[in-house]
Amino acid sequence: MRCARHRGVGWSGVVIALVALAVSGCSRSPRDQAKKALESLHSWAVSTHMVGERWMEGDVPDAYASKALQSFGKKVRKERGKIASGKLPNDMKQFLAAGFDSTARSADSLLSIIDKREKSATADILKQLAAQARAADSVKERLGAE
Amino acid sequence: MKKLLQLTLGIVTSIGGFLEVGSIASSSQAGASFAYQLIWPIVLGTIVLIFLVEMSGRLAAVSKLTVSGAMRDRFGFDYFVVPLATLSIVIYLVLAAEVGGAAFALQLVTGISYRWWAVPVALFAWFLLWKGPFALVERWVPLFGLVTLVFIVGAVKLGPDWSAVAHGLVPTRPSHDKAHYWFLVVNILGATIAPYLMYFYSSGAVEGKWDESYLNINRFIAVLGMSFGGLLAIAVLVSSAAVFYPAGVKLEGYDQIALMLTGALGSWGFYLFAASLFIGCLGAILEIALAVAYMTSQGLGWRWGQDEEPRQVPRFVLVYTALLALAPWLIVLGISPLAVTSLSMALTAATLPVAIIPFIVLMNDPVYAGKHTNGWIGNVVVVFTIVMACILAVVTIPLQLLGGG
Repeated sequence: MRCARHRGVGWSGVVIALVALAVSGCSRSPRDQAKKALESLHSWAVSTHMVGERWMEGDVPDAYASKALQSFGKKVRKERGKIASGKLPNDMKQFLAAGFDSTARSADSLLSIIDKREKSATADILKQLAAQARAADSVKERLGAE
Repeated sequence: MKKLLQLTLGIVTSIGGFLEVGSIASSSQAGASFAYQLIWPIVLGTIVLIFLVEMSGRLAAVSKLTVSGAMRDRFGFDYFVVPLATLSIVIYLVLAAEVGGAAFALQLVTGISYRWWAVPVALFAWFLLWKGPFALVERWVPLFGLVTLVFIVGAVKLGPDWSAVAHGLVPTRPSHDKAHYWFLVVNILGATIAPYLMYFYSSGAVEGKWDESYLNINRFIAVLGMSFGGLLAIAVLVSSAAVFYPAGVKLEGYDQIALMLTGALGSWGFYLFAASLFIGCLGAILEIALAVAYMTSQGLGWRWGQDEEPRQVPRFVLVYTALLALAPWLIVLGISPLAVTSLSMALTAATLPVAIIPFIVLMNDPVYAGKHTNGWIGNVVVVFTIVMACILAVVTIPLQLLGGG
């Protein structure tokens, strides 16, 4: 883009450069797909953890926490469903599927804990979610290093 | 003394009325995805908004015409229909997004789905417009909007990296997700430079019977009110960047965004976020519904005025009634409020030229602006930003909507 401007190319040049820039940011190689899926897994595990933690601290009402966890559970299962159709290596598919399943189960467990108002049981689930987020992160780092 | 009071009230209500669903959503998403890197479009958008709001007030004070009235007068009805139709479609989506935001705020507190709240929110807004005077929309709702100052408190308490915040004032290239970065730039510009604000502001100036003695007041309100408002949008971005970016959370719904202030302010942070979202959206719903009613009535030559009895301005009332009757249905059907917000803000940016270019012509015509026509700096800043927003919108929106980035 900078070169185009220096050479005095008009708006059409800028538009072409921007299209190229945007397209390059949206390539869909298996590695990119895996990276996106790992980021998504990490994000949902952390989001679920945040809701559980804030509920345990008494910062958010039961009504919000329940609704949010139901919604996160649905979205996590939707993400899990996308994995089968992706062009990912089998071991990556298995890792992601297990990760999304585990996150969805944690969201369900938190929901049931909120229903019963058993705050003491929350800590174990939060530990599992934190471990899930770390695992997704470390696989993503390894993917980047390869 | 009366003018000093009007000035203070004008500035305070501009601050309180600045944040709405588009600013909250786009700033939060920008902070979560790119930390402090996208502060610059908020600053750029706010500068343009200052110019445009000042011009709207100046046009109204000098010509005694609203932006819509002057557009029809200068370009004729055949031309006026184009911006009226285009903007009405985009504004409908923005209104749906605002209804979705207010409904979601109620879901946060009650746990009852936002889909059930959409129709009551639209009905409540309609009731306020039907029964309330113009001052209710112009002053009282924005005064409650001062609750949004909680974002500044939250941003400071979260202790962000201030040097990184300062770096965000300068445009830099994204290191990842380029399409998403530019999509968010478009979103932020669309959320900040909302055309309905200008139509609403100029109609307010005409309803308030402004004359040339109000030009300085107008300037102060535009500069101070919008600057502090922009600061609020930056505070939302900074809070989101401090909480979500290091945690690696990608924001895909308001139920995630709602946690933004709980780390800094505990349960107060949660409830004040919900209150900010609700009041910000309610204020925007009222302003948008009135802005479209003003625009349509002024363009078609109908009698209009929010301070008139509804039976004296039936077609004006019919426009906002119809709009509010249609607004909730996208949300009732279950479309994600955040998705509607992102789309509507991007489309707002894409249609900015339709709304602003005729306006720039008016502001350079002595018939309408008298001896107070635009200077070259104002024209250059506004035209540059519009062209940039338009190019980015054309390039980035299709890619983003097709699932890229």
